[in-house]
Formats: sequence, structure tokens, C-alpha cells
Amino acid sequence: MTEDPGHVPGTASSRPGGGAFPPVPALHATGLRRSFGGTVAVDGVDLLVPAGSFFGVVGPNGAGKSTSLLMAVGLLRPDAGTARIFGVDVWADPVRAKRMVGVLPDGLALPERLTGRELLHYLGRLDGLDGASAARRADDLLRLFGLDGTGRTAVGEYSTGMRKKIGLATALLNAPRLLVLDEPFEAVDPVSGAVIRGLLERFVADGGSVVLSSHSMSLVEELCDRVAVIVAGRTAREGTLDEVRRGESLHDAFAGLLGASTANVEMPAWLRR
Amino acid sequence: MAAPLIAMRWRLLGRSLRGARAAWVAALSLAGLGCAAVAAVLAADASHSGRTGLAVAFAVWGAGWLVVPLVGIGGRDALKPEHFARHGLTHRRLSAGLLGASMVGAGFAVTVLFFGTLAVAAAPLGPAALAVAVAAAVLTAVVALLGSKIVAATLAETMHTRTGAVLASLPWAVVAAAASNGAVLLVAVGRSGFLGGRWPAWLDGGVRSVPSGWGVGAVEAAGRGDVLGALAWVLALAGLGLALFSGWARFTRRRSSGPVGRTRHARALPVPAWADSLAGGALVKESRAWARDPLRLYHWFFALWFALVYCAIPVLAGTTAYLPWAGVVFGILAAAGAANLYGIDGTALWLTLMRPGRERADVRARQAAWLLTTAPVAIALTGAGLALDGPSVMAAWVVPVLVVVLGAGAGLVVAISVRAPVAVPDAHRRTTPAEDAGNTVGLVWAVIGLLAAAVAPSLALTAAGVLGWPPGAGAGLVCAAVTAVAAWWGPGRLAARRLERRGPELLDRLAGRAPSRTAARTAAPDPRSDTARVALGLSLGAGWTPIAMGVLSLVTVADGSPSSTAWTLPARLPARWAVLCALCLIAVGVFVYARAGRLVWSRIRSRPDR
Repeated sequence: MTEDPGHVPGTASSRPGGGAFPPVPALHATGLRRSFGGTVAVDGVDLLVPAGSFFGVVGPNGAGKSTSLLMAVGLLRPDAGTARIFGVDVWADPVRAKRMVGVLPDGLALPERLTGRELLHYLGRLDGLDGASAARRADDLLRLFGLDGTGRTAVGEYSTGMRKKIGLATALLNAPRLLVLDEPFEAVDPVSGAVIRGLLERFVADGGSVVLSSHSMSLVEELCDRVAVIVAGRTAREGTLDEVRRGESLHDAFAGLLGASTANVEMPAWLRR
Repeated sequence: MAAPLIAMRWRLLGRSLRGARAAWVAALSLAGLGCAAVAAVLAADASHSGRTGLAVAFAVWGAGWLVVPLVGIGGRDALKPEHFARHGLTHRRLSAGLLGASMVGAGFAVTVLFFGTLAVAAAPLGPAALAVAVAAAVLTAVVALLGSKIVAATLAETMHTRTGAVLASLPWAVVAAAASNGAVLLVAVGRSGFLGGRWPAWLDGGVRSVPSGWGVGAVEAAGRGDVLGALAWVLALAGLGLALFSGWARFTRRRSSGPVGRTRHARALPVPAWADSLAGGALVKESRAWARDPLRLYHWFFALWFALVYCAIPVLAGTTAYLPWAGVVFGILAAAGAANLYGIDGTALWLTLMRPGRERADVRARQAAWLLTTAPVAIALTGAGLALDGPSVMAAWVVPVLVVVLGAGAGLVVAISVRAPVAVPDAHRRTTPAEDAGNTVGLVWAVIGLLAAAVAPSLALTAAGVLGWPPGAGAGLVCAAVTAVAAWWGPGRLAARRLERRGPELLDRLAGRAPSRTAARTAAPDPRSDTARVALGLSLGAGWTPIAMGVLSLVTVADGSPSSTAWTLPARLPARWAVLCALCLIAVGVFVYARAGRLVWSRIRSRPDR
């Protein structure tokens, strides 16, 4: 599994083994479980992401989406369960597994004293690219996300949306086969959001696989072909978009799974006009 | 406005004052009450020198309030102006409310009592003087509180810059160095005749002219029957309080009306050609973090100021013997300050974890960057110190120690920080380094103690050389070089292996995630809790002190040279007692190390991940 440093990220030929992917799932997590202190955050999450699919993970706040994704990519050790990326166990063979995935975690820091270009350059070097390739990819990605004008600004000074974009750029840097993105559109401006959407759609069209978590049901409905709904630390429903929404909108199906309804919200008297 | 803020502060205090923190606050409060009792005794002395003594005590107490924000005591549970940015409050009302809330707590109560000892001085002078004293005491306490708040606010704004970090490290380093070399400082003070009542002439006026002494001035005026004079002092205090309040309210307005403007630019440095390798790239990345991160700069400059002041203080007592050690002290403190090297970068560790196989390069780059930022200065300080001290045998002692400190320091900064990191806020969420650095006391002392242990074999050989075994000096140097290389390489390898095997757990700690229930069942009782870590660190860090005192005293006795520093204090006793005392000190040190070692071993044995 070697890198070809000369290609622009996102294209099929730049990916290791690009073109004909083996018939193994891009991501297969089974029975993931994790507690923090006495609180069980994830209690049996299964995710099956076929290669080439655009997979959405939805769920209410605190349901365990981010925790599950962190376990799936090898950043949080599960109490139980397994995670495989293209058939490679993330915990048994992290070197091979992590080379195939690009990750955008939610809420984790970046080296804040580096500029965006420096950050991408050094991470590219750590990914095994030579200096010229790392520099070229850094420039490509900065331009792609509209960050090429931020030359002297340290990452610590970026706005929330800019941090999201540079994080996404780090995820794409090693031209992965699978992208696992936690809330990639949060705080991103509409123009950049459209760029990211276009990029992800192209990525999947070229044979890549994407897993993204989001609170935006309409976005997930538009982009994803498969969806998992996580509720209270468990996979409540998983399948194709149609299988999950069962003739309703995804929003209604989601609310139904939660046993919640927004139709008759009881407004406190003091709030009424 | 103040009532809800005071209620919030009260509730926050109730939540935070538990366990070790509650004991710590109680101990500090008791110590404060003891100081207040001493101040009351001073206040009962109606003589001019008695009043001067009281004013000196007030000045020291007031200065303490200004230093408190620099060392980060308290404030962690404080209400911040930005918490209330969305409420339609004028900044003056918000400031008044926050000030009222700040008065809730043991610190302010003890301070009011402390300055309240003015009442003891004023009571014999009649009710008018007593009223003046009470008003002055309360106002002085409020002025001290406001002064402290302005220092904290200034620090919070300037600390985001590198210059701010450098300047903020200075006063704390001076205080710490003076406290660490207290014995020598006392010798200097004793020689000056200060304690015998021979105070310099400027002191009388000096302590009365600073705001902490205005209350004393008011009581003295009242004692003379000068009502207008007494009122003038009190009004001056009230005016200063208002001015400080107004100044602090400006800070509040800035902080409650959005993020404080602090656009900073990194220097757009090109990536150097020699960095076009895996190791080179990682080294440049790490070096730039040292040059740009105010928190790292704060620790580095703290080490520098500390070393300079610590080694310069003995000059006041007439000895230059400490000067050659400035480089060594700097090296030790720089290593101690970097004991949380991985913790400082926070959850950015995830980027390394997503690139398995690169851990070793990352660790070695961090070691090399620490050496590059520390070694040149340490060597220069040592050279300058040796030159200023003049020709002596000191170089034979200093050089091997410096070599070991630099080598082992580079090893320990990665090994300790990977083993027991302390989570700190991400760079863009930091306020002041003192608040943000976390409780690293245990780590700092562990590094100091382990460095002392690493130095011991080389020092023993050097001592043998000084005592008449000619090959000793050369063997000491060779031993130092071997120790330095081994203590750089070995801990670095251990750190890389730890990262490879337990990287996600390290990330858990940095992200502040609680360990899982499964891990809690199988793991030993958390060996890295604050209390355990501090106890272990103190044992490891302090054990060498009596050993060093004992060994140096034995060398001094055998050598027949007079004791000139606090390290050889037992050598001042008659020879037989000096040897006995030195041996006892060594035994105490060995006992402390043995206990620490036993604790470490029991932790290692009971951990499932060893």
C-alpha cells in the first residue's frame, strides 16, 4: 500500500489500488461499546458502510455518534466490538488501516501555532510524501477551500468554519479511500459548504466512500444513499435511505424513532405574544 | 445585579471546594489568620517603628494580591465577563456585580481581617479613629482586590503575545527563586542589620506612600488629632478604588463585548531545504511551536529568570559560588517546565495517532527541538558563570552535571509527558499560562528528582577525583557522557513505544474523557490523580536534596574547606557531628526514594497495560 504523491487528492487514480475496489465494506464496525466512568455512551453500535457509498450517521445530541466514529477510526479504544476499514482491523493493524482513511473529528485540536500551509506541509511529510508533493498538495487544498489568502494566519486564529475547512483538508491530504467526517458542514459558510458538497459527491462518484455525521436531515437526504440512526448509544435503524425513512421524510422517521413530535409544542404562556 | 452573581459565585465555590482543594484553601486560610494575628501584635505597638512594621506587613500582603494572578492561585471558578456578554448590562453594572461576587470567598475575608488589624492600632485613640481605621481597612482590601483583578485582566490580554508571556514569567520566577534560596537571602538580610531594626531610611516613607500604607497614615493622623489629614488618607483610598474600578471596568467592557482583538500573525517562514525529510520536517514543526507558543515561552523564560536570580542572590551574601551553576539550574528548570510537553499540545495528538509508524520521528523531533532551544543558552550561562566566578575547581563539578542534565532532560520531557500528561486548554481557548498550565507540580518535581538521580553517578566519580583518586575527574566526564546519551535514547524509545501502544488512552486524558468502566474495573486505583501524582513527584523530586546536602557536607568535611553555602550547612558543626548529620541526611533521602520507588513499582505491577 504505497502512496503515489504526484496526483491531486480526490481522483480515483490517486488512491491506492484505485479503480477496482475489493468487495469488502469500506467500514464495518460491530458491537461497539464504550463507557466513560459510570456512563455508558455507546452500547452496541453496528455500522456497515459498503465501498463506494455515501453514508450518513444521524442521531440526537449525546446519542453516541462522535464516540462511535472515534472508535471506528482508531482514535478511541472501545470496551468491546471491532472496527475494520476495507477489511483491515483498525486496532490489530492500525498502520495499514489508517493509511486508507481520512478523518475529521469534532472538537479535537490542531497544532495551533502553525499556519494552514505549514500544517498541511508537515502532515504531508508525515504521510510519506516528498517535500515538493506535500507543498503542491497543501497549495491545492488551501485553494480548494478558499484558505489560500490566509498565508500568515496561525490555525489558532482561524474562525470555527475555517478550522473545519483546514481539518477537512488534513483529512484529504493522504488521498484516502474512505472519509469519516464528524459534522463537516457545521459553521461553514454557504459557498464553502457548496464546495465541500461538490467535492464529496465527486469523491464518491470516483469510487471513494464517505461517512458523515450531521444534524441536518435535509442534507443527509440529499447526499447519502445509506443512513444509520443512532439513539441512546445503539443503532436504532440502518440501511438504504428508503429503508430507513420507510416512506416518510427522514426527519419524520427520525422523530418517530425518538418518540418525539414537533407538531404540538406547548408554548409557555409568558412566551406568547 | 450583584445578588445573582454573588449567588452564582457562592454555588461555584461550594462545588469546587471539595477534597484536596478544600483542605488547601482551609490551610491557606489558617495561615492567613496566623499572619493576621502577627499583624495585630504589630498594630498593638504604638511606637513609630511599630507602625512602620505594620505598614511593611500591609505592603507585603498587598503585593501578594498582585502576585496571586501571576501564579494562578484561585480564579478557576471565577465568573468571567464574557459569560454575561449576551445580557443587556452596562459594563459598569456588570463590573460592580462581578466585583461583589469576587468578595465571596476565604481570600477576601481573611484580607479584610488582616487590614482590619488597623482597628487594634486605632482602638486606644477613640471612636473617631476606630471608624477611620475600619473604613480604611475595608477600602484597602477592596483596592488590593481591584489591583489583583487588573493584573489578572492585563495578563489575560497580554499573555496571548510572546512578549506578554516573557514578561509574565519574570515576577513569578523572581519570587520562586528567592523562596528557593531563602537561606542565603536570610544571610544577606541578617548582614544588612534589617532584622535588628536598622532599617534603611527610605523604608519609613516608602511603606507609607504606597496605597497599602495609607490606612496606617490615616490612623496616625487620627492619633495626632488631625481629622482632616485622616479623612484625606481615607478619601485618597476611596479615590484610588474608584479609579481602579474604572480601569477594570474597561477590561470588562472589552471582554464582554466580543473576543478581545488579538490578531496575531506567524512569521511566514519558508520550509528550509534541510527539513525536507521526515525527521527534519518534524523538527521544524516542533521548533516553530517553541518559538510561537506563549505557554512554552512562559515556561522557558521562567527557567531563565529563575536560574539568573537563584544564582545571583548568593552574590548579595558575598559568594559567587552559585554563578557557574546557572546553566545547570536553567537546564533543570527548562526540563521541568517541559514536563508536560505532550499535554501542552492537547488533543492535536490525534493527527499523530492517525499516522501510525511516525511516533518515533515525532518523539525524536521533540527531543531535538528541546535540546536546540535549551542547550546553547545553558552552555553560555555556564561559561559566563565560570568566568565570573574566577579560576576554581568548579568546572570539574559543573561540566559533567550540565552534560547529564541536557541529555537526561531531553529524555525525560518526552517520557514523563507521555506517561502522565496533564490536559490543558487548546491554544485558542487559553487565558493566562498560570491558569492554563494545569497542575503539573508532580511532573515538575519528578523531572527534578530523576535528573538528580541521573547526575548522581557522575558526581560520585567527580567527588572521588576531588578527594584524591586521580582518574575520578575523567571517569566522571565519561560517565556523564554515557549517562546523557543513554538517558536521551532510552526514555525517548519508551515514549515512542508508549505512544504506539497507548496513544488512544493518552488522547482520552488530553480530551478530559473519563476512563471507561471496564478500564476502571481492571486498572489500579488511578495512579495519576492529582494528589497521587503530586505526592509521587514530591517524593521523587525532594529525595535528592538531603542526599546532596549529605554528600557535599562529607566532601567539605573531608576536604577541610569551610562551608560557604546552605548545601554544606552540616559541615559547620564539629567534625563528628557533621559526619553523623550528613549520614542521617543521606539516609533520609534514600528512605524517601525507596518509598517513591515502592509506590511506582506497585503501580506498574497493578496496571493492566504495562
